[in-house]
Amino acid sequence: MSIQNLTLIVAGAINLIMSILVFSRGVRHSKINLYFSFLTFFNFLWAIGLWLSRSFTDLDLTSIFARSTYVSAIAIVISLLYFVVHFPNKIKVLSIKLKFIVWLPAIFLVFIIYSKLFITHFVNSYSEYEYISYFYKPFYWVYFVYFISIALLSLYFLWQKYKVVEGLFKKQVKFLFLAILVAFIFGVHFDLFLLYFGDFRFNWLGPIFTVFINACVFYFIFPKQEK
Amino acid sequence: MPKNNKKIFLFLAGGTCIFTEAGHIFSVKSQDDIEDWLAQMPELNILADIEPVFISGEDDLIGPNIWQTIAKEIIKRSEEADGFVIVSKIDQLINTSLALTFALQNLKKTIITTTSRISGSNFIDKKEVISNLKNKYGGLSLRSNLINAIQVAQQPLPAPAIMFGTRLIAATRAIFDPLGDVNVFSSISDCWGKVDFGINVKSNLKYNQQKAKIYSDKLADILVFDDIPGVPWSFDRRALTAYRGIFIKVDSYQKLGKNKQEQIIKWKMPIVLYNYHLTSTSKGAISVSNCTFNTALIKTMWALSNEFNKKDFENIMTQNIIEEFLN
Repeated sequence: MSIQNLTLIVAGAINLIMSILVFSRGVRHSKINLYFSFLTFFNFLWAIGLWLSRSFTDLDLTSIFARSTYVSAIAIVISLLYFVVHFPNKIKVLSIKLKFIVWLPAIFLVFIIYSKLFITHFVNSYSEYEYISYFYKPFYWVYFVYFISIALLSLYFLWQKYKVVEGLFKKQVKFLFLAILVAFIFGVHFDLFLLYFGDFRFNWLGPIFTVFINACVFYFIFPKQEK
Repeated sequence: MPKNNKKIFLFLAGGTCIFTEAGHIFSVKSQDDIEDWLAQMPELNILADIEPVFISGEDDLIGPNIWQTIAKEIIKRSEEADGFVIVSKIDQLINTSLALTFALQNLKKTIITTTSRISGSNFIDKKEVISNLKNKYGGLSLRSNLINAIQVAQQPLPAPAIMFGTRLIAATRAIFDPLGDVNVFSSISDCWGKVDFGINVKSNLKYNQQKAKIYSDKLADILVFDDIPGVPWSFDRRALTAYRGIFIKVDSYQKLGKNKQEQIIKWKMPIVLYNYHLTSTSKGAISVSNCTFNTALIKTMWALSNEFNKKDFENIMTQNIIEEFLN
């Protein structure tokens, strides 16, 4: 197995373990646990989708798994938004208008992703298992702007929280903000920006940066002094 | 305010100091301050439908009178409430929580107490402490304590508990630990919950299924002192008439001196000898151990406030009424 695929499996596994761990802490009374479980579960699907898309020579199978990664990315960014609204506590409510702005384009984009209007075709490149997708640029831009907007809105909400929370929460928000920012910058660079220019060599690197978010939360759950 | 929010009554009885946006300390000294005080924490109304109730001001003394008022106000509002959060002074928070635990047994409403790191509206002598707290924790902790308390108050708990820092502690298990860092309260057994990644309350906690027992009498005045082996007790017997009983914290390793044992017999009033680990027996006194000092103290005050006869008092003090004894 290539180092690239191994990296994707490890990143996926870490996210899946974290998702199960946080979910098992209880989601009935904790929206934080619920949305973080979603976030890490979709991170897992993203990583596994990328791994599978790089594991077949059959371009039809590659197409299914490669397209699924863009759907997972939408789910990741929506889970992130809902998570930061609740973490560490709610200071504002998502308005109906904002919910429409989030969900309607998401549903539209999911349909588009599985049509020829998003990725027109795939060709094998670099090796017999790797590929390049050719995008229909206008809708790729719609996807790009949507993804960036929701991610930046999430970071903005988190920054607002940082300014008002106190004590332990302030430290937690700061760490999480930085971890999400790192995952966002590298995720966008390797899995959106470079792809736009047809460079697919590094798309396996994006998921590994989600591990920073997991490490932060792991540290919150198991702090040194409570061990 | 979002729909379907639970109704939480927020009782204010001291311990209300917070930093305003301008960096000044603001506390609730009278009913008129509540609106401005709540305006500093608009997020509270997102977490629940908050209804504030003024009990006492920041500079008022907290004791049996206030505890009785809080208990009565809780009973009055228990039908419409989903939970109660009591803000009171840090030095009396354990006793306040315990007084409510004994007064409102098996109430099917969650009661959470919390506080600010400082109490009282005179800050001249606390300047350095306040400055340190601001640098270290970014505030006086009440804002985050309240947010956590309001969320926990919406979940079923078997008895009143203290929410402070990262810990949710049953009142009967709480110990004041002023040298603690983030947490100034410790628990003698497992905490009921902790704040790590959000609030994590133990999943097996629920309301006590037994019938609620409400005791609305004011807790009795008792004389409390520490026994020092070798130092005699000198009391004017007339002074003791002001008290319903005597609570003595004793050494766990030495028996009371013969003179002291004779004094206890002569006093002919309810006397409790307390030590966490073990107490030697003395005729005419009840020995209590295996629970916190505050629990034993408030239990004595509660038991003496009710018209139990001497035999009942002895039984009650040794019975596990609200799971106050370990094991």
